[in-house]
Amino acid sequence: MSMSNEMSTDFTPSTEAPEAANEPLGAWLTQVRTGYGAEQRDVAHHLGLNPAIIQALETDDFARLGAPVFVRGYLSRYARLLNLPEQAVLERYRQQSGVSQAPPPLQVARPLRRQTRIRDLRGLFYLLLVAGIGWTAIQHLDDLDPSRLTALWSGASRNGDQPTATTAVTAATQTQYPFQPASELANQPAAAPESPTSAPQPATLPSPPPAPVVVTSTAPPVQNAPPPAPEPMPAPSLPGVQAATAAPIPSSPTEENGDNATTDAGAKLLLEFSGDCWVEVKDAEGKVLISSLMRTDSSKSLSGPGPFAITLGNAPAARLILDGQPVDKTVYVPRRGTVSRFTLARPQP
Amino acid sequence: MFKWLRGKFSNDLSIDLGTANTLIYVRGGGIVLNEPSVVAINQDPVRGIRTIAAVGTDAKRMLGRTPNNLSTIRPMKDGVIADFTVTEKMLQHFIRKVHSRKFFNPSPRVLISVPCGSTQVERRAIRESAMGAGARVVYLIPEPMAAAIGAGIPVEEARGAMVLDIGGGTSEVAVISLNGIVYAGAVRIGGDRFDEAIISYVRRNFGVLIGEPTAERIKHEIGSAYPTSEVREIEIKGRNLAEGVPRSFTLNSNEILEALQEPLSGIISAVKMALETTPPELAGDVAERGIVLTGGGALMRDIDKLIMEETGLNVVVAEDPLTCVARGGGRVLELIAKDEHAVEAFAIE
Repeated sequence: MSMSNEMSTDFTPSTEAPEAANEPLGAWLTQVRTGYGAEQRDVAHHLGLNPAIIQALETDDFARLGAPVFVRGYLSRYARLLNLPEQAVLERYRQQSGVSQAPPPLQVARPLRRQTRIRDLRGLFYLLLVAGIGWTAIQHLDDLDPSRLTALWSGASRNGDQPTATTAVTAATQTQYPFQPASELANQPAAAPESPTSAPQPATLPSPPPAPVVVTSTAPPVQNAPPPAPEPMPAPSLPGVQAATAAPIPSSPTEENGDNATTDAGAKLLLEFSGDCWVEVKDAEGKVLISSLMRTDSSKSLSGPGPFAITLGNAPAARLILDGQPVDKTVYVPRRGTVSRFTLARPQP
Repeated sequence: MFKWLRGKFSNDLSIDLGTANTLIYVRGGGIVLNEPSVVAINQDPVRGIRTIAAVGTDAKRMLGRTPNNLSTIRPMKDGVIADFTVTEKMLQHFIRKVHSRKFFNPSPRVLISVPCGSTQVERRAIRESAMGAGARVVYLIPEPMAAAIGAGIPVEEARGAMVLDIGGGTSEVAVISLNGIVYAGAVRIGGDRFDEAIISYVRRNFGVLIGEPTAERIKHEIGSAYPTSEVREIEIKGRNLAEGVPRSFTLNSNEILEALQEPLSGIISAVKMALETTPPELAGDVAERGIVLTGGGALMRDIDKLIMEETGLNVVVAEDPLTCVARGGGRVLELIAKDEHAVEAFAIE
């Protein structure tokens, strides 16, 4: 390590340093420096500082020197060089510059953070928009369900072609499907007389072949609108429908005689449950045949004049057999929820 | 358990977990604890159970004067944890000491300064130790950053500032700009190495063995980093290695200067390495403003003169350099309390 440079001015104290009366700090430093016969550049050379810093200290222009920590350092060293009391010089600096003991608060700049937040919010807005559109679409999805529309079209066209082979089942679940209500069904013309024992003749029926379980819409335009279709749509390929087509339920004698086209005297309904289900069944006369909670793996056999007004609390767990023919579940199981209200009548052959 | 609830009754702490001293700054209360990082441990000779006998100042008084069942430990070495369990107990003791509420065990947010040269494992050990001592959240800040903030350097400015923190175990030099560290370097040389150098020098040249407390006293009273015309002396006592009896002899400041040459050269080399690595724009700022000295080592007589002579730059000793790190951490804590995003600045982990 090298030693200090040779000094051009001797700062050895010859006499006691003059006390600072009330004069400014810079004037005090200047007075002591001139007492040693030194120039500013001599002091700057001794301290290894820029002469401009010495000038700023002697003119009390502390703002030019930056943060107080640096000014205190300069003053401390200058005071030691001039053999002045260091603490007194620093105290004078504090009083004069108004520098408090507490440093200024720290600052953290975060300009980019806010932009990022706005972008995040924009993404959230788009997400909500897409979710809203999706929810709306789901709300109207039932109206656009192709299977329902197919069934609707099929039923309507068959009604137009053969009003006597009226649909037997109507369903109106709590989801407000555009099904035909039982009252409208009752106003339809009676079926043509047919032998009760004769098997259905698919060849005599128009295309498509009649399905034993057909749903008709309650919406008037749909009910009345379809004219006889030149090329009627095929019946929906639902399992229940196919089974019923292969072996349709024979019509009751009452219907055969045309006494009451809308009631099925002595229809037998078997209810089977794979889970707990509340059930209520009323016959055509409004008599409550059952209104109770059915337990898992239980069954109930009912008979009475049809059609039956049925309410199922847990429709997916119920299996309905009308006169020995299982009823297609798609007819009465709702798309959402489990509660189903519908009217079940014996199909016309 | 219930740390969140206990945190409501705890004050945030900034801890300078130093090799020689531990300082604690309480948010809103300033420096409330400054004690040696020493723990006295009592070992039961029969059952072999270790218990804490004293911590801090009381333990330091026992240093080198303990009977067989007592041992004094300095759990920090070179700025990092040397004994995890004892460090945890020491921190627990200090944290409880600075909290006036006795009903709840304190669970404060703690900001701990760590050497910038410490490894991830060493940092994790410090974090785990603080968590084990009851801290709710632990932030780690590099020591030079905390020291710069505590010294009053405007770290948020787009101007480079160099800070040299000479602690008990390590000396760290860093160039700071825009709330971040541009360059940081550390050498495991500090006050402890000065003591060791004095012990070694006395043993080699005088054939006398002295203890650490005596070496520390010599350093404080006549230690100097730069030759001066004023020569100070101190009379000390130690055990003569040849005769095996205690002897008294006199040491002067020039001898101690000679003893400290090696560790001082290591620190100067670290500073020069930092200056060589600093980007040119920041080097210009450093040349204009100088180097700020903090830490207990900055109190050594004429160390600023030595660094100035070796580097040719202005050197400023910060006000109250011993507490700069703790005060800087405290200022960061104050900022975090107002703005949680401040943890993303100042190189906090």
